[in-house]
Amino acid sequence: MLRDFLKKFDIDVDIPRLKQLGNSFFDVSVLYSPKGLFRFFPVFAGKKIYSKTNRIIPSIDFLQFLASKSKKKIKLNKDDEWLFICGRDVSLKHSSSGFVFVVNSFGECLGYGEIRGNKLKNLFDIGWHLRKKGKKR
Amino acid sequence: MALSGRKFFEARYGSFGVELVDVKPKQCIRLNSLKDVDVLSRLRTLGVRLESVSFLDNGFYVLESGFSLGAITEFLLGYYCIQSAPAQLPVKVLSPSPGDVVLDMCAAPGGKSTQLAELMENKGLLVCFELKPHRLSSLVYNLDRCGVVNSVVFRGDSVYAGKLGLKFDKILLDAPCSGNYVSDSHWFEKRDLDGIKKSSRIQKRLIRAASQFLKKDGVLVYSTCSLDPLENEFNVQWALDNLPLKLEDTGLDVGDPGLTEVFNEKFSSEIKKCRRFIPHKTGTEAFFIARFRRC
Repeated sequence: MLRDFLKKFDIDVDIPRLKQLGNSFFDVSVLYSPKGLFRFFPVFAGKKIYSKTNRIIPSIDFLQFLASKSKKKIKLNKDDEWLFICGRDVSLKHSSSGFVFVVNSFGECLGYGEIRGNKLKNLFDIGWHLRKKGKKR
Repeated sequence: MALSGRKFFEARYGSFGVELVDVKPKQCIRLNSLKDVDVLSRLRTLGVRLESVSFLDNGFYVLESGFSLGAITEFLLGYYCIQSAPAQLPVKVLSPSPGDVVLDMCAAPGGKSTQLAELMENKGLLVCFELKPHRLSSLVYNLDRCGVVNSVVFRGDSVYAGKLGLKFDKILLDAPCSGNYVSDSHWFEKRDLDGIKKSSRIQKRLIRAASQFLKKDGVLVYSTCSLDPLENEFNVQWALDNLPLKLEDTGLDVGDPGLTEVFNEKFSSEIKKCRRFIPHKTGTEAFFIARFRRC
């Protein structure tokens, strides 16, 4: 699933061997002395890479890494940035198509989406976790 | 006589000089040094007015902000945490080093866990426990958001952390407690003396466990956000009497010393080394911090 995801953004990177805990995947090679700890079923360990639900939910840092490796990016202004991190689609001035990482004026990745005509469809954004938490309450 | 309600607690806490004055603490943020970004400039550009907290290294009071600081890009990317000023102190008092093996016994929602990782420079090993499943999601979200890579998180009761077969250099026990009236506007309706006694028993159980997992000469920081001596000085005295722990100075020059006499009980003069935050004096929520070393 991750390979297919990367292909959509023309990203060719080596992904280290990942440890699956629940529906999340971690790079545990960064951990100091983790020996034996996995027998006790941790829920989080080392560097989180992504979670898998019906789509890929990259960790915040992995998202930045992926965006830095892809040329498929779209930059949003401050107003559209706010709409996007609130989970909204964004209207574009020019028509296009394809999957893109969405960045702000600082080059920070806010999520990813798909351009369909002159609309940027929000597929995942960094505010998703907060909204999910809000719904659970 | 009901052992609850505002009047009861006014009399109880008044007996050792605490006035239950309504205090509205300023919101406080902690910058995350694991992310190399000049977030202060970014926030100032957005019109946020900040003031450095004198007793913190990376803490700032929010004097003015036209929007919620918990929803903007800078927050979502983990450049800072929203964390009350005294809540930033236990980790400072514990002072973990990059190579340490550290246990955070009651870790959710993760403000202190991310701060531990920050002081450890994302090195060593940070083991986090959280008993309540519904609080785990906040913990793992904050670890991810803040770029923590040296942690392993377990769901469960941290009194069983010994099963992992590790001995810890440092342990943070920010214990579940009855809370305080400043951070919970319904506190007086929810709390009574029985609940506080129950909290105190749970806390003793956790302190005992912590003392078993510490390396010799290892450090345990015990903290609560309760004003009640049963959850603070009484527990510290119990630990000194029953466990291989001795008290150390917290190194803080803010807050009051721990009480050495309360409710007709006299404690060791060592307890002055603890610090308590009394809302009407510090303008913050209540807090209590003790630093132990294992003998």
